[in-house]
Amino acid sequence: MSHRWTSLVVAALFSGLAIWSVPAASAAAASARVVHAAPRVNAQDTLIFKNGRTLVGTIVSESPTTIRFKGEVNGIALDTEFDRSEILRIVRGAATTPDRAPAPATDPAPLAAADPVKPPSAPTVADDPTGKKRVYLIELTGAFGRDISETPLRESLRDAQRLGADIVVLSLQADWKFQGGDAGDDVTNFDALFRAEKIGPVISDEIELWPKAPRVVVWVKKAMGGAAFLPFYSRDIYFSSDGRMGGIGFLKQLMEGVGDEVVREKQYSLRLGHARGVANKHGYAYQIINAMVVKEYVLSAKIEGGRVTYFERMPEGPDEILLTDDGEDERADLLKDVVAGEGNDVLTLNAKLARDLGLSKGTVDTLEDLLIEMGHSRDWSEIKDGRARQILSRWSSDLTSAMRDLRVRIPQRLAEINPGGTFQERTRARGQRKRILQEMQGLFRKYQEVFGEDAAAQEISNLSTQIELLDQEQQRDAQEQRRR
Amino acid sequence: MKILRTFTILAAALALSLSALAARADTLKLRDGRTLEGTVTREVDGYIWFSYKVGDLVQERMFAPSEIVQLSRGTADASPIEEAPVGGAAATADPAAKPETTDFGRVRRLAILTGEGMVGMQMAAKPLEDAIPLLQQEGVTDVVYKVNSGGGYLLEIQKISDVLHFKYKPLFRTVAWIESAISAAAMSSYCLEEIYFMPNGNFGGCTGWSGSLDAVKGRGLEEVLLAMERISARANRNPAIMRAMQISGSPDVMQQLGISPPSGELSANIDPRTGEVTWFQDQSGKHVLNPKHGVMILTFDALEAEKFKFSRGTVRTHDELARQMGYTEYVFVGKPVRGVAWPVSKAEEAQIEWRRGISEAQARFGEIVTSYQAAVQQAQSSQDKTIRGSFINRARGHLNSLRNIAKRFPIFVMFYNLNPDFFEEQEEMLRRLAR
Repeated sequence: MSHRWTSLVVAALFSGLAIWSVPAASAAAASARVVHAAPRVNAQDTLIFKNGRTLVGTIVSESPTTIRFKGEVNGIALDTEFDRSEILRIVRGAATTPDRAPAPATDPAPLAAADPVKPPSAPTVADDPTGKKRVYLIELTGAFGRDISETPLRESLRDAQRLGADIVVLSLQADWKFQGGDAGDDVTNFDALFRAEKIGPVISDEIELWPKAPRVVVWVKKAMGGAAFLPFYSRDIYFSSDGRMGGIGFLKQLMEGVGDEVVREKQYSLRLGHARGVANKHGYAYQIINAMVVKEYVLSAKIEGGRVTYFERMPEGPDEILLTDDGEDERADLLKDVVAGEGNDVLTLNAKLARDLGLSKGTVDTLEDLLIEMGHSRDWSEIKDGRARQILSRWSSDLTSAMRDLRVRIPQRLAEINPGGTFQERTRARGQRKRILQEMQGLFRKYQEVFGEDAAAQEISNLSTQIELLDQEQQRDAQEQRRR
Repeated sequence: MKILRTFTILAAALALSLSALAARADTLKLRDGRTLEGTVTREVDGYIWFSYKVGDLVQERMFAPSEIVQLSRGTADASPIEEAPVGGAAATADPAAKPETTDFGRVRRLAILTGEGMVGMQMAAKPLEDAIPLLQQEGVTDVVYKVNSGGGYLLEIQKISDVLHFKYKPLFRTVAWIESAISAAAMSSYCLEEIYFMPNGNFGGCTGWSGSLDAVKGRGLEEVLLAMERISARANRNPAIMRAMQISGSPDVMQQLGISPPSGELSANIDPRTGEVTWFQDQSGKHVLNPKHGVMILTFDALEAEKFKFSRGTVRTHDELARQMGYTEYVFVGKPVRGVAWPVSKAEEAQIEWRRGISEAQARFGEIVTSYQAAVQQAQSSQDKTIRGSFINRARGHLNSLRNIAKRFPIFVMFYNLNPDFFEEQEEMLRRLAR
């Protein structure tokens, strides 16, 4: 019978990723059933009620306690006054009415914030009584995808929410090491993109579902490798003066020499599609991603009055700057350029370039400068009692400990179990083994985002097999014991 | 005289009223099942006064919002609602809008079905087909197939395409909403005429491979190329687009792959006046899409897909999608579920449950097989009939788990030969062992 288990039908794969698991859907919060009625004339305000109902129409007038609203429900005109206490959120249309001051248009996305089912949240702290913006700082350090991971980030953001943060600053300084030292711009870790696709939505999609979404700012100190994708999930990017963002280049060298060229091309194409999607999500120029990722891509730019025009060719005039050449022949970066961080085979952004290209909104080295640059010179206060530092540090230390447990301590403990001579001793030994195996399963479950969901599931299943075999051994032993 | 004059005015008013009825013929659908034709004479805060004929008599009645399912205004009214096609929905974008009315009224009822995970496993034809009666029970008029998958098995592409094309499209206006549709995921949903993207969406990379990135070649590849030409025709799409997603834009690719020309080269012109896109299977068009910047397989992102009219728009949320589909009055069918950004219908619950079940089966399959084999070995090595019996029971438990997997997820039957003969053989072997 055994041959049957291995007779897997040879099925051609029309699968995307050869190395990484298939990216899963991003999580987001739930939505209520809504019925929209069309506004008849130039009315795009939206009232989102606490019961999940949504009305689109025109705000006619407002008082501190009520809102008079014109719209339609099921084709029936409606002109009524609502108590503000019933309303969760007001999304104002671009058009303004004469009886109220112009309000900035809200992106369509926050409409989803009306959804009545939201991530669990602790009671929020009321707005700062002084009217100052409450600023919550999260320092993201360590290895991207390991120390910088969705669970501790999500937990930190919930803490920011609990403390009523208006602005969340993510200071991003990810490790970028190679052979023990600082890795250069010519090192690449492109495939960490697929970790970024899991982590990024925590600071964008998930936050947009909060009843009161804070402004999330990414402050780039070192965003190399997978971390380079994270800033694209924010609409507000600032750089420190020595900030760097890159390390995702040389896509077409990623699988060189493996398999057929046409399949490698497919792998490059789908990866570039994913990466461009990250830039497109918040309206960043895809050309920047192309230049950061593909060595063969040639990009020049012309900057006039803060406006950037890109050209997918070499510069054709003195007012154009070369961002990346094709890295071929004499245009290949020299080692001295690479070491100095001045290569242009692929794009690595520094503070000046990021600012010039409009990707960064400013270059700042202190939190105070950052807030000033954001237009808050005095009207802000830093939330000092936030727990982000503890959350992130506990995650890192627990994860390090778990890795060590799995690699060293647990194998040692398993090896030290005395199999025993008597039935009772054997039973005890099997019990000890089972508990340790279950402990390992717990660690794989807890840190599955770091191990990879599929890999963790496989490990858990393998451990279950070992547990089952122990159970069978015990069953036989017990029955033979009874027989004796 | 005064009486006569009053009568004349009333008669004139009645005549006006009747002529208004004839001209406008508003339709009011009520929760008690009645549908009235007449004229809305007054509206306040959702309450309407409706004038309609009963026999020869015209009467006017007030209806509360709770009594009303839907009001459709007659053609003489210039309100946006009346510009909507039959069905009450303002489906101005698509003449192919499918079901018009249901017992649920004329508001369009949309359901999002998610296709995620590996094609052939988590994303499969069976749960999609099984969802149809659930969608009908909930009065769904429009199905949004939201895709987020990195691809999977070739053998499932045609099955999913057939279910969407032959079973969904006649019943529902069926559209794709793309977060990521790579390879088999793109090919499976390709038969849908209407494709919308999320801003981070990507679609393409449809090259078949196996093992260590070994390409599907020769006859096998020609068959897939032909199948995708036929699927392109289902969506009235130029087959050159899919070909550019399947094979390289390099001219020497045909020799490597053992197939006939043309290659996957693709370019396009966009008519500046009409916006119409003309495709070319070479690089003669103004915009070259494949090869491009050294990459030789086409994968669209949201911007390019929209620019070349491959997609009908880029939308972030389900509400934006409904509006982009042309609807102003709609409801997303289902209930709110934490962690999901749109209401979850019963049909979608079934998709989620399918994925959960098959993922668990996938993860545990090896464990169950090994456990079964170990239990059989324990039984085989036991001289004592009682001990042997206990392990045979244990083995039967594992065999039943395999049987359940095969029953729920037919793809395991195919991949691992878990057919009835296999189970019969195993049962027979266990019976012999028990003697």
